[in-house]
Amino acid sequence: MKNTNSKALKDEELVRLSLENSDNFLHLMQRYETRLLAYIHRLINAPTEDAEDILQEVFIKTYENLNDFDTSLRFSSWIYRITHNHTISFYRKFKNQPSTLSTGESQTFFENLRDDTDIPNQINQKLNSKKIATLLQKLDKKYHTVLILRYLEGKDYSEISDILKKPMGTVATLLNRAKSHFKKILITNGHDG
Amino acid sequence: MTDKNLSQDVLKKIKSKNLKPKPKWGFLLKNWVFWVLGTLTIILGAISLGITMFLLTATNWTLHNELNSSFFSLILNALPYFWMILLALMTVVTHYNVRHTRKGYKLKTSHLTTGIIIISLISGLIFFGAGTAKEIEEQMQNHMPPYKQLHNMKMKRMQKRIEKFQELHPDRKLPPKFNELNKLDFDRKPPTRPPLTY
Repeated sequence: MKNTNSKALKDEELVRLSLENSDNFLHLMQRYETRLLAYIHRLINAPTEDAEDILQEVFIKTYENLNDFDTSLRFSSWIYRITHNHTISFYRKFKNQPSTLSTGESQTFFENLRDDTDIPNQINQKLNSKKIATLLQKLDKKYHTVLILRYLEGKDYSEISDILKKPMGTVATLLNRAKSHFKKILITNGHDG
Repeated sequence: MTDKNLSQDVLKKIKSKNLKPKPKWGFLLKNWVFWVLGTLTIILGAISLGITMFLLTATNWTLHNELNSSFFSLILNALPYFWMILLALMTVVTHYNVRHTRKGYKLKTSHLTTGIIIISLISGLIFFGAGTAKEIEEQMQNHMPPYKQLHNMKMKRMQKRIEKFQELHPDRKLPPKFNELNKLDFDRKPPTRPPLTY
């Protein structure tokens, strides 16, 4: 299949074609490679080589489990779930440090979060990207993950529920707690500039 | 490694190792196993509830009331713990099984727990009302030696408590139905004193 043709196809159609011919799986991998590599980096502070190894294993696992894909889900939620679980297993095995966001990512994260949270103005002005990234590291892993998924990966509640395999209500509670914890950290640490 | 290389490397690996997607039936089977186990555990839970109801209604509460000085000791001595623990255990296992089905994670914990309790309650009432619970309990006593042993232990303890009660309060009369205890199957010598009659 030509690259131009594959672009017009939905993920679900590419899954079906990949089951018929493994060559078609290349288009799915290429579609998600950059996003998933970034997500792995955001979740754990793995060196690039490790992140790429994780992603390779994720793709192989995804391919082997293609028949388990539930078409009532979005393919993106499913592959994010596999990536998330595999990355967390890796993290537990090797205990990497929590991730540090890049300057651009920190800024995007904070802007998205600010639109959704009532963060006092005086804190907004004093924060720089590095500070945001450092403060984010202080959060519990489960809060860190849910904030990344919502404000950096741009996932909605239903997608986060599918990725983390948690009920929507639990996701909403987690997200509220995460925001509230982050706000507390901002207020107690944010004034130091 | 560039983006292009990573995906292509994976594809090469898939081809060189001749990897294939696992068959669909395996995933379907796994999902079904959780549903079947969930159904079995909920039935077992309902049977436990039915037997709990049967034992609670069969308990001589007037006698227990006489033997126990406080409400706490009454509860401690009279409840059918074996079945209640089994019911709680089955509720937890059903919860686990349903949660691990393909879409089980979408259910709210409170909804799932309430659902399991309601289904167990209705089925338990049916088992109790239809006499199935009584039948199962009797069959277990007849055919399951450990269960019979457990039951006998409970009855022996009860008999001892009655004897002690009567020693302490010779003037107090125990309520009717007490003699029913004499029908129980004890593997020890019967009490030396003559049976009480009311």
